Amino acid sequence: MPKFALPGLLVAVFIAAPLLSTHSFVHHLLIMVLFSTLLGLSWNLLGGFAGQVSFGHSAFLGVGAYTTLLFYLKLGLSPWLGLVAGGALAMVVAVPIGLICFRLRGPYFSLATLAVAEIIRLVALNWEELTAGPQGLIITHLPALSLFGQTVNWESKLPFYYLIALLALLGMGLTHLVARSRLGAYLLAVREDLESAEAVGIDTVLTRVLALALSAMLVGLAGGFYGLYFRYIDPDAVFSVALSVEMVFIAVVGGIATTAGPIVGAIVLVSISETFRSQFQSGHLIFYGLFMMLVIRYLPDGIWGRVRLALKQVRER
Amino acid sequence: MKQMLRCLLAASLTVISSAALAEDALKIGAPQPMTGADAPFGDKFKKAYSMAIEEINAKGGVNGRKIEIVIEDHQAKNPLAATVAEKLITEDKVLILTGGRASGQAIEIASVAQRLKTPYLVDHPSADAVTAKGWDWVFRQNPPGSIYPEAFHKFITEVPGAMPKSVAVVYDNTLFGKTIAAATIAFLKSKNVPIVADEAYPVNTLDFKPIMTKVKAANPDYLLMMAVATTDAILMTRHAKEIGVTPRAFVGFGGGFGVGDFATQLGPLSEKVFSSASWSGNPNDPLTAAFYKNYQAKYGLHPHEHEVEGYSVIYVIADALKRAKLTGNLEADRDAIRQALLTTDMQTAFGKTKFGNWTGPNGDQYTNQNIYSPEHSVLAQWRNGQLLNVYPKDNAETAYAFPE
Repeated sequence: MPKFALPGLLVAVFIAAPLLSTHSFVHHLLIMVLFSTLLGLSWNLLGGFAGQVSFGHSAFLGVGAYTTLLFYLKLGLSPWLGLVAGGALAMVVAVPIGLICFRLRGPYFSLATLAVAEIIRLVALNWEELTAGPQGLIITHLPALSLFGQTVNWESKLPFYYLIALLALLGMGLTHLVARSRLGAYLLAVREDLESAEAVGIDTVLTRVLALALSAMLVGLAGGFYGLYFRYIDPDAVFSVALSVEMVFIAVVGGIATTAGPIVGAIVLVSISETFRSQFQSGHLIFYGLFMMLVIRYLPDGIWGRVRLALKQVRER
Repeated sequence: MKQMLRCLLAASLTVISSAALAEDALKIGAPQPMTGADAPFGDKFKKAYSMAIEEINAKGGVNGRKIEIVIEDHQAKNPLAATVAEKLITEDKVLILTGGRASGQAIEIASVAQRLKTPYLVDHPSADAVTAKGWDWVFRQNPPGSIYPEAFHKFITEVPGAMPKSVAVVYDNTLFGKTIAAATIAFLKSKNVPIVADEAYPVNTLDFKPIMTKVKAANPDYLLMMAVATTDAILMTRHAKEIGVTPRAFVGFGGGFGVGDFATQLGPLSEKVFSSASWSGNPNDPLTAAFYKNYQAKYGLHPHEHEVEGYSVIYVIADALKRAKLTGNLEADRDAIRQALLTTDMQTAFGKTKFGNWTGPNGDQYTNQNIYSPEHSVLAQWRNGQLLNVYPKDNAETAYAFPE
């Protein structure tokens, strides 16, 4: 297979997907799938490749979301600039957090991430001059933008779809590069055996900080997108533990430490939660939970991990 | 094979007939939390909506057409609230939205409704922002948060000698707590009442003694306490009394001070504590009294604010549907309903409802906010384990006990 066939196909699918339906709700679900994909990709970089389980990734999502909205609402700068700044700032915030938390290992690291997210939530809640506290930030209209001579219609879904598709592709590209780079190899070494990794001369703290920074950048971009798409953020919504846990689920169900896992996880989770919800008004979370248990019990490598294994076996036969 | 065909035929017939019925019914959409921690509230609204809809349909519906409510679960999550609002509007093709339950979700729903040009009549969410962003497709029947202390303000202004000489204000750092504190502090400052303590705390605080020690040192004439969470309301009152804070009046604001647990947990300590209670209709009004009685008979549960709001909002919607000229064109019908809501002027179990644009006590510029909201505030007092309305007089169930 030529080198660019698979990515080319993926880009084609991403471009074509929303054109198959005129229902704006279908477009919305596609956006949710890609948004979840980006969350899963971000968590996967750190949790999957480096084996550092974070329960506080919403901290970086919130930083990205607040940066984007504040850039627009307070400074009057273009929200698209704010989106990029959000990703960058999430990265900057991640470095000192990483330097402190990576002194801890295993469950202690996980607990520290939980605490960091809570601290940042409380700062956002109480620093009212900057964040408007519990009132949150609301965008009532987005600035006009013209692209290739056409005015972008922010009331329609397509611009948002292509924006998140671009971000998801960026995330997948980054994951692909990391997985094949020296950094990827270091991360695997750190995940498998921290002492051995150190013994062969890997700077394990720096390696993990790098992984965290890249991961934070992706989720920061996702946060900026969240702010622009949903147009309302408050500390409890963007710094929530539930959101952090969702990121873990997407990566785990899809298949940790794989490039395609998060998108598989996102497609499966968004579609099953939508299906169950439309079937059962109040009992649907039971089925969702049951599904999670089955996946963890029978597919510990995730759905994509399992498929990849099967494909490999077929090829070797 | 033949049997299978017959089954298929029967199945398709039921599908067709139910589709025909569904087309005939006028659909109202309601995003509510049906699962998760807020599920009990979603259930309250579901019961209230169903009761109103059954009553209206039993009397022949709206202009001969039945009305129907489509509830979608948003799990108290903001992104999901936007998702289900979108689904109700574009897939279920509802004519109007209501519900929402909490303010964060209501803002998402309002933002979607505004963009997709579908009226959204808010029945419970209280954040001022919901009707203060200039969204002309959004209406609200219930009072915004900053209106909640209105009855207390009337009480201290109108009752001789009740104006506080000084107050201490202790509030949780939620949107609700902060909004109420801001509204009441602004009012008291306008009356030149000194604020001797101004203390914010996080929700689910376990120890209020440090705060109450400060409050005691300030020796306030009134202690004003804001709490969304019941445990905060209970612990705050207990610790204030244990530390020996002795103001002329303890006044609680917010959900925590209005639930039965407050009296059962505190026992005699709850006696004579005022609660600036959330509005649940005027108990002396025959419409409201009848609703309370019928609801109790139907479900065996005592209704409160949520049920009154949910039940009444359906009547406001039915009234607008009745007056709007519906043509079957979804976009035109939604606009006709919005126009009809603009001229709503009616009495329900909740109280008087008429939407208008006005300025709130914290300076918010409301659009389509019930203009009678300032009347929809009531001061209640705990007496022998019961919370009874005491002010204003028209809504009072008993006389206030003040000063002791």
